[in-house]
Amino acid sequence: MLIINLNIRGLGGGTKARYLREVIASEGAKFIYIQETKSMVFSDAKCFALWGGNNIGWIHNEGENGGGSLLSMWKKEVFGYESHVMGKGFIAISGQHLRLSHRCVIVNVYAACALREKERLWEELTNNKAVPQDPILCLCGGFNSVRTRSERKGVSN
Amino acid sequence: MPLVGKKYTWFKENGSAKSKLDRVLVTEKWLQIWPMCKQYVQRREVSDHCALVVKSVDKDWGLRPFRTIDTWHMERGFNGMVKEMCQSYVVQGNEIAKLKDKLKMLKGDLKVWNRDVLGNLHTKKRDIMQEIENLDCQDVYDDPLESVRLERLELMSRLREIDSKIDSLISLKARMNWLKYGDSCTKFCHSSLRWKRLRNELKGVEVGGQWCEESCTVRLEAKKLFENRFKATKDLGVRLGAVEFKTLTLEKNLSLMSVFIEEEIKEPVWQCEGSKSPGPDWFNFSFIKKSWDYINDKFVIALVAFHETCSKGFNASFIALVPKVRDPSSFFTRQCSNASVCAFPLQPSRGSCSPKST
Repeated sequence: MLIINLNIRGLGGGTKARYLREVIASEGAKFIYIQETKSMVFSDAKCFALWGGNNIGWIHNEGENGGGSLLSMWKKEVFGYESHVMGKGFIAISGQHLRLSHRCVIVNVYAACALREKERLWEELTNNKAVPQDPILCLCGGFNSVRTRSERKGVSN
Repeated sequence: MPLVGKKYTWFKENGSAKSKLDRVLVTEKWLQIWPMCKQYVQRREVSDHCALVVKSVDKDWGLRPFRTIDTWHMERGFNGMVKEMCQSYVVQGNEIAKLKDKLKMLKGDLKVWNRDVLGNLHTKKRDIMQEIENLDCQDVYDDPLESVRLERLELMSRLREIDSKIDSLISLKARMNWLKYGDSCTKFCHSSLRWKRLRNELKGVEVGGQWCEESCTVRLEAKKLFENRFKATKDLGVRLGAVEFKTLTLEKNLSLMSVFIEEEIKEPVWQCEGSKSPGPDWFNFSFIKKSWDYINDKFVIALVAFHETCSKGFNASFIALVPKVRDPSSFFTRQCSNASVCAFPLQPSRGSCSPKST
């Protein structure tokens, strides 16, 4: 299970795509979760080019006007996609880990800065009917908040 | 999950602010399947956020230390067996070396016994449950025979015994004094066990500006560090000519120089808590206490010999690295601002049963 999570701040331009390809190749990624892609359209060809291979499954969440857009990609030989739930600020994908045959749910999250938006997001995530009781669950992403003061520096409030 | 590499994942362009905005959250079940999952923070390159890589790496840190398991004492006839083992060893050398070699051989034999005779408790439990199941299926029609009834009772008592052994083993691993036996099925106990393993592992250190994770390199680096620390220098640069020291009275001096007697050795041993051990790779105190009757004379002889000769060969040192901060990235405190590792050179000296010497 090797997951890469990155807030890329706009996936335009060749440099970022090249960087992504390099990281995927060097780490041998099985899953990749990108926040803030800021591109409106994705196609098979574009995702295959990003990964540098074509046995890839992908789901893109457009977000609002390119903001809060999410992209989840996975290697088809590792993860058997079953279903997904998409909402404002998250993509939850459930499927089978093929080698260990465990059913797991992996969620790509981008929480907006506004507190109300965050509350709504967490509510939506916890009330998600697609997630079974006591799941094998992994949430990755940008939560735009810290748990304690020590987790940030140089921010006034 | 532990964060390896950096403390923050987002940096402002000019570096004036940084936060840990990105994170990966997993459920209990996830850690059951991938127990050594960690988040590695990558170099920042194209964005103001760092990429996080989640991977499960289980490193081989070399030989595992020997540990006494309190569950052993629940096994019938365990004490007798240890006694027999102790008496059967033939060793050479001076008294201290003899004790050391004997305990070493005992350790080896106990390891084999644990693996071969005691075996895996969970497999044993499954076997017994299968046998009970078979019996349940057999005698649906007639009244059970006397022999079958006895067999059932025997099986049930063995099952209970194994259950309590498993419980004690888990609570030993979780090191929770306040979690009494029987509570080990709780999610809390299991998760604290897993979390402890994950937290205490040294993920890697910086060596000469390079991040390095291979266990052998990390071990070598730690050894080098302590070798340098303990190197003797010719001139300490300290003069003590004018300092007047407090001196002991003749009476105290004599009591310090007198030969060890058994009570003097026994008392500190009994003061130590049973689950504690004088060093890594050693017997714990409850083992020593329980087998005191037949090893006490050996300890006394060895300590008397130590008192007379102070011979070498009893002074093996271990370095145990205990992280003082979460996820340290270097062995140094001052040079590298965010991490440090504290070390305890542990010496099982004076037969290890005398805390006043440590």
